[in-house]
Amino acid sequence: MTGRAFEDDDVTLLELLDRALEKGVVLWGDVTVSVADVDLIYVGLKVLVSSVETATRMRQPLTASTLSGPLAGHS
Amino acid sequence: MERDEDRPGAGARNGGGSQGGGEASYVYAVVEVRDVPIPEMLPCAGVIGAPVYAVASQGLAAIVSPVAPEVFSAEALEAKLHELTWVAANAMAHQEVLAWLLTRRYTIAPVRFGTLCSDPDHVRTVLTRHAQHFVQTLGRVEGATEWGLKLSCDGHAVAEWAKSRNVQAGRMTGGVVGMSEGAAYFAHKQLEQRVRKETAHLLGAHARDLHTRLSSVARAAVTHPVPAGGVRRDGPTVLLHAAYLVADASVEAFHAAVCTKPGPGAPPGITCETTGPWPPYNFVNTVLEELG
Repeated sequence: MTGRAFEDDDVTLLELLDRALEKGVVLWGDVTVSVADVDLIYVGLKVLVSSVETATRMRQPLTASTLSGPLAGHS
Repeated sequence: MERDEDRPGAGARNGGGSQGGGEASYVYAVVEVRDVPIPEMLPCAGVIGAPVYAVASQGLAAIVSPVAPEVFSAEALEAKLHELTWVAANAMAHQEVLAWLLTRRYTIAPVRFGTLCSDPDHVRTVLTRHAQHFVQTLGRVEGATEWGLKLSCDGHAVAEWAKSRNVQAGRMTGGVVGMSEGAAYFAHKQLEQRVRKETAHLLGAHARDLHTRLSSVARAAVTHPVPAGGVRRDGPTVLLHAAYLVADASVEAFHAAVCTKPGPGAPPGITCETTGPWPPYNFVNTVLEELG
């Protein structure tokens, strides 16, 4: 695996929220979350992830499992 | 705030202790399990540290966690979505579960963060009722993963470059020697505008060219809107924000295409960031009709 994927914590976290909160199958009528304030969250998150300690803590779960799998060998 | 203590991975795996009565099912994904069996309990921690189970029906399985419904009620979530550590930790936990499935090559349709069913029976009903839809969706994304791409340029570098082009262009057109102050000012402004236009054109052409190349390698592609208003002078400007569904066999070709350099004469400071492999969030983005 090269360092190409997930090398930037800010990008990764924002990309994750872009997906998890806004994309994916919606089971209409069962969804309890409707994210109207995503922009607001992002502004705060940028502050949050600028802390090195937080960024390091957040990177671990993503890199540990996402990059160690068989798919990680492709790039 | 005590929920933050329940961060996934904090070792709290006992959330299933009171399974059954009064617990809702938080849904992560729908998975194809006809060919690849799935364990009844997955060895990972889910949102708010809850255990993760597979609820199977007709060759499909929904991946779920038992959670107290009040944690993910509309009101609770509205408040929690402003708690950044909570959002980040639980979105990560959601992703962790999907990553576990992804690395084991399950074909998955990720479900949006914060989706609840009232109980496992409700989950089975959803699977049965929408089986055909899920089979179609899963067929589209089988053997592929999603890759995100952000092409951006550094406004400062582009501005400096444009300025040097202004000077060059100024020389080529004979400069402002002999002009009145007003005319020189006008000529300068005109030149600046021309260079800005050319710059935007070059950047746009590169973004389009890259997207065309990547789309030809990918099985499917989705572009997200980028901010209008041209290149910002003070920081990065996103030129292309897209997601690509890439078949496993094409991942290398995809990365080779990502490395395409901007053509000669293009401004400096262009960067291209990819993230992945992601579950195919952008390619299962459908809303199922309400259960009758």
